[in-house]
Amino acid sequence: MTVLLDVRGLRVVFSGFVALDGLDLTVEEGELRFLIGPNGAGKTTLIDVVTGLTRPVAGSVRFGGTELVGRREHRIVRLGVGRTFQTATVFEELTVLENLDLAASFRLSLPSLLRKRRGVSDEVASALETAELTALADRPAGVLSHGQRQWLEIGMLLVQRPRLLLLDEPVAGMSKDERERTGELLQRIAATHTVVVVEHDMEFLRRYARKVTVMHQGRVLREGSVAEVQDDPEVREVYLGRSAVRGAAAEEVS
Amino acid sequence: MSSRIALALCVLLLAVAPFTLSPFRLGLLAKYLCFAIVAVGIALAWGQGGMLVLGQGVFFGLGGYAMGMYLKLSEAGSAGLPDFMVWSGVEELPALWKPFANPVFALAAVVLVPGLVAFLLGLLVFRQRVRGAYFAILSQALAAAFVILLVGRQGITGGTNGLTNFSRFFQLDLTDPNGQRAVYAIAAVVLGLVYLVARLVIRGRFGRLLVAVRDGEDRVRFLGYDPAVVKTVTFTMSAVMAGLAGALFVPIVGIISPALLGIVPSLELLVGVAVGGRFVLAGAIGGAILVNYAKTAFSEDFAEGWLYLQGGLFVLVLVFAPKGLAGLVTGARERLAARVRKERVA
Amino acid sequence: MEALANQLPIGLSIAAVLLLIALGLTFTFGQMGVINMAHGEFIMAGAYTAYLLQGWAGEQSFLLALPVAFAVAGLLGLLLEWALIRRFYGRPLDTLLLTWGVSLILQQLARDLFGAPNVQATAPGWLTGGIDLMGVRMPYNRLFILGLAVVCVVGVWWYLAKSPQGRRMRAVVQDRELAAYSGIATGRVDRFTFLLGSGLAGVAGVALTLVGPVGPGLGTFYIVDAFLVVVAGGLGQLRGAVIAAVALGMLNSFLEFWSDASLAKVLVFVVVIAFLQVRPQGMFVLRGRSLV
Repeated sequence: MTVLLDVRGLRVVFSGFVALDGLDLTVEEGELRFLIGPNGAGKTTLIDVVTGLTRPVAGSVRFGGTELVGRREHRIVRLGVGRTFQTATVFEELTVLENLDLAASFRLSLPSLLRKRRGVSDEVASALETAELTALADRPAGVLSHGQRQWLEIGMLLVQRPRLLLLDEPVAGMSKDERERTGELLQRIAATHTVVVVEHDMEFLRRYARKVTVMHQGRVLREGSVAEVQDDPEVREVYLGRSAVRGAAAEEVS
Repeated sequence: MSSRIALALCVLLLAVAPFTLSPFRLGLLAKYLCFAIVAVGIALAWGQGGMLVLGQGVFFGLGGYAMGMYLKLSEAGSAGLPDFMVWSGVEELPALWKPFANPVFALAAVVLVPGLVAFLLGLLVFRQRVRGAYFAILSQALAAAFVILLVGRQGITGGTNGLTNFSRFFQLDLTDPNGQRAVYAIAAVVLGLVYLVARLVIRGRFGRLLVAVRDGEDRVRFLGYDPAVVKTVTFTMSAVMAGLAGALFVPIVGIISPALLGIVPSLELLVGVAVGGRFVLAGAIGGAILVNYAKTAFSEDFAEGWLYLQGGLFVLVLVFAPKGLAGLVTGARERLAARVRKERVA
Repeated sequence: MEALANQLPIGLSIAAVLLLIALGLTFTFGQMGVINMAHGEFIMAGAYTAYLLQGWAGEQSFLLALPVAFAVAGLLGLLLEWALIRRFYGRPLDTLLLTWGVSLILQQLARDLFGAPNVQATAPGWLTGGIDLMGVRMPYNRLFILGLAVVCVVGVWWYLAKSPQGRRMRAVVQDRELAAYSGIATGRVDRFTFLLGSGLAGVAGVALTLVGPVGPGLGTFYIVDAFLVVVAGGLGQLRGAVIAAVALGMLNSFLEFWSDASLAKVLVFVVVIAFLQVRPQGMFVLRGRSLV
């Protein structure tokens, strides 16, 4: 296995608050990695640093051997790192199709961007299908439901063919049915991509996670399979908290 | 379909105007067309791109002065000096003026100088993510500085009086009604071209990208685009359009002076676009013509009233119809369509 | 060298005027994100207030004019906020155009009420003359403006940092929703903020009567520079506004000395753009985790 993402000694400080405290993390090619941790553990900050939104005080982020720290956001995307946001942000005035087409066209030169879109590329069509939005292709993205927006955002990511996908809480605020469909979507994507998912939802984690990294106070606390992590007393203590432990215990009993 | 008919009607009206309007009225219409050309650029930058351009007078002026300098030199007397320089005792043509004796250079400057200034400013400002109100204020400060510079450098720019007294425009005699008609026709054609270019830009992928940058500049970065490039290109286009309009304004109105270019005139250029509807090109063009027509009509009778009306128009449009007249029309059309649909169901 | 030194009081008093104007903008633009183009006309209203008071009560009314102008301009601001601006929160660019429309109307109103030509308010006797400080002539009127600016800065600082009302205001700025949930009447805070910011414009207007004539275009003359001060200083930052006002005021007067007035404005603009290359968000920024 080759290392795709290699994070070393990452430190981020927000006006006195240490969000990442010398974090080390390695993600290998083809992995599906879940990042969990209590609020303020630094999960989203990590994604922000990898994608260039936040600058670290110290540390390095190597992506396929290339240093990402110090590069501008769109350059990092062009290197093949894509992300979604906690609150899905799509362009509400553009149609679903236009949103996808815009995402797919990011490598076009300026003169060819000036030309009109003709038809729908195979890539965009298949992304429409993957995101189950074919019927809504010509509606403005503003009319989409919360869940559909998340899928559209994931679709926009897929048409860019990134080498690494970073999904920030993809199922937050979704209904049970939507969560399930997102889970299936995630499995399909993970079969062909390297994916890092930040997630709070424990049930979702148990069902779809392979390898889990637990973060706490800006550091990696534990890494392992779902079962390993769940059985770790320290993880239970800092992350799951009492109610979750009780919940897990109740599950075991049943 | 109905919009095509409306477009054909407008072209027809513009085509018959030279044969029905008096030379004076035709001159006024030609002037409105110049403002409409600026309006297309504003609609592109502001309506589509979300960049509130409060200093378009600068680019209008750069185009106007480039053209005016050439026209002055082409009419200069035996000393090769424009009349105002002779009056103010300048003995040798300033170096800045010399290349403008060449018509090709002057015409290129009409496009390139405003474009270059906008490109540089845009690149410096947008790259640093200075945007929104900050950009608006900077563009306004540029207009203020530009006018003060023009007034202060009397020997080169003609000071407050600006450049005036033009009788010829290349081969055309501007005192002759036929010459005036020809200038009008040029303005109408340029407006048409500018409109087509803007439409092409808006309808292409770039136009979608521009709207995306307007609504979520930070999100666009994570799609792998650099919003600074998109904004700079658009801002430059709008500046070039303003420059073209300024260059045409000179033979049509016969003057270019600082009073036409400062903070207030730059904002006035926005009134028409806001009233007509900044999101629709046709609305911006119609609004510019309408508002400038109203200005002429009011100024003829009671000039003070115009300022109240202009201020009031801005307030009313922004409070009651932020999308302008074009927004009201589309809104009404959608409501009508909805009602028809409902009746059909019933 | 002596001529250069004489630029110092001029630069300082330009800085003080800019600061007085920018102080008001720190409230309306910095704290509320509202670009009030009618701010210049509130300055004008303050200046005319001083002029009218003088007509009624003689030149000794000058000190009285400061609180009266504060009230007049403040009430105008309150009215503007209540009638129009509160409908426009979250649409900063539209607010800019809206208030510009209002400013046009106010300017024409001033022309109709007081006539288009400038009028002159005479400075009270105790402000004529000046003293020599280390060989530099400091006129009293300019010293007074400087002092007034310092007093206002201290007052605003105290208000924002120490008073309960100021704390409420900062709470609303930082998180409007949360402030509303914690029982702060955000609407009332907005109105009060606007009253203060506009009132400060009125005070600036009174100060301006000391250094020049009063006319309908008085406000527009200063407003662009004052906005530049806010841009360079950083959003809603008092110390940024103070430093930027002093820097731009001094720069302006020294550039005028070295080149001339017309080139100085362009150079100041170039300097501001250059400065933004280093500090795009102005001198001081509220740091936080900015989300898309």
